[in-house]
Amino acid sequence: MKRGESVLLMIFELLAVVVIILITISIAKAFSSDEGINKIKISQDLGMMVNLLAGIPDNSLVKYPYDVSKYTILLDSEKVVVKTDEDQNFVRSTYRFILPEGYIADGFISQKANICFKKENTKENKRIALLEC
Amino acid sequence: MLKKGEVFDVASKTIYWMIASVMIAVILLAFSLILVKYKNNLTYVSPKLEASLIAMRFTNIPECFAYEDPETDRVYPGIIDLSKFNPEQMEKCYKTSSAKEINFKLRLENKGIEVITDKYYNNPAQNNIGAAQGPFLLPLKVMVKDYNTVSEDTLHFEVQLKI
Repeated sequence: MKRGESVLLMIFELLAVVVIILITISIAKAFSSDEGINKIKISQDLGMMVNLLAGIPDNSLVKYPYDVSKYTILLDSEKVVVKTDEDQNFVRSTYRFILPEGYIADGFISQKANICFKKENTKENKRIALLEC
Repeated sequence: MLKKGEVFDVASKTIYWMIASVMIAVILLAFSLILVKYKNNLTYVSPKLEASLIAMRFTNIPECFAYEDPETDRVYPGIIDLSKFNPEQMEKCYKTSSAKEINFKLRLENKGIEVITDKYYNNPAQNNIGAAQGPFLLPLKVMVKDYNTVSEDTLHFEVQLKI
């Protein structure tokens, strides 16, 4: 093997090692950022709050006790979705629930620190709304 | 044309990189699996908690089995209207679309009546999770309204977790 080829192979080996290290660091960094975990935890909390409110036979107002100003939250009658503005992918921060017949859930909150769930329970209107509070 | 020593050099490098690439792939895979497991542990929610939050509705709201006075529209949480304790009402109360959701079997002990959700499969392996420690959800003391009589009963929950 010529000296030039040997140096080229060594450069290739070094590059491969650097690429592997970078990939490992980027995966670890993505996991270590709180955002992914936080989004899942918030969607679980909110989804379970909706389940809880569906089981209460009267009007109610509940405040979510954490700051959610980094997130956009979308509530409909089947699911709650939590995302940040940079997110393209909704999948990992969705919590699905099942409401009784006649109930609707709706609301959209973007980057507000304090959010509430309001349950309106009348004969004609059974609604769980996501509001700023 | 390569000399004998050069052929050995190239071959040894190739073998080295073949073994190294397999090992690197295994390490990266193991690293990813550890991180995924760690993430799953952080976001774990007890299925008992989820099931008990859902189960609240069965005895508390008129869209499920709670008794509602037709004259005053007042709802009586904890009093089950026996005329509603049937599969049709269960569909209105909690209609699951797949077995990936939590499903329930409700049983009134004294009346001997059972109601199940639409994707509940009698799966003893699932239902016996934690059986040694007792039932998955604790039974609930309820009142049952049957026409003009009200009697005490116990509501048992069997829970089928996400299959």
